[in-house]
Amino acid sequence: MIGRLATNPAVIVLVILAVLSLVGAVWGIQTSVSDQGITTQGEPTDEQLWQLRLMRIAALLPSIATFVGVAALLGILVIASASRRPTAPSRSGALT
Amino acid sequence: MSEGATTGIDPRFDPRFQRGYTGHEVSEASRADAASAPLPAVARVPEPPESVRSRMAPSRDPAADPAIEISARAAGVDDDPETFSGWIAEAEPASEAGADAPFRAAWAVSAAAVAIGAALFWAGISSFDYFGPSNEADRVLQTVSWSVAPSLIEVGCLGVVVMLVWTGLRRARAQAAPRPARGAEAVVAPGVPAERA
Repeated sequence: MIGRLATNPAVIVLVILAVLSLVGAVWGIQTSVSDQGITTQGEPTDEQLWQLRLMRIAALLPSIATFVGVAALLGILVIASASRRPTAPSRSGALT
Repeated sequence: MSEGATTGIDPRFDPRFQRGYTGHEVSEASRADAASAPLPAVARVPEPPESVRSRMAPSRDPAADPAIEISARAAGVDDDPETFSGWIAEAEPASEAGADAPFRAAWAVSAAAVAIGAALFWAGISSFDYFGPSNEADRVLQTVSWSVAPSLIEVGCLGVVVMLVWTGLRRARAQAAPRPARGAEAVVAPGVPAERA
């Protein structure tokens, strides 16, 4: 079954998506936790503005990444369940 | 049963297949008699009347009669298998395209949701000002961006995952399906898979 899953391109993409989601969620949480805020006098610089935008992205990313990661994991399990070949009945008639 | 039936040989039929045949009394004369004997009367189907025959007669117009068109095509073209491959290839893409239309539409909707959500989110970030929105348009844009963009991105990503699962399931079902026997595959068509994924 693992071999059939490994040859399924959709499963490979889902695995990549799950890993990327995990990395994105961890990065977003770390960035949000390490946020020190911006102290500026007058007009903020471009660097400070980009830091602010990054904080917005980091605040949005963990929820979406967690959602997508769990969905991708569930999808992999569903495909794995569907990839199982139907077992042949034994001679006594019972399914093995 | 009757004496005549056991002793007499009917000259109209082959004596080898008649009761009482021993093989010794067969002569060339009896065979000639059998050959020249009149055939038994057979009820013939009466000829249809002229009005019916005119309706039964095939039309000579190739456009109205597909049999004439097919026979003319067969006479004009050789028996190369590539000649017939076009007949088969015409119908298949239409059915597959019809079956895959919802599949492609779902991919398109998912990708559009992700793209629109990301664009809205980026527009909201780009127009962000440290001291608040400078005009009414920026205020509307940022409000829409913060409220709609996350949901669009989330639903679009979920749609992409679902479509990937759908694609994987189609492939898994094609792999898990029992393969037909070699003989059956050979009968269907050489070189053509019996089942399309």
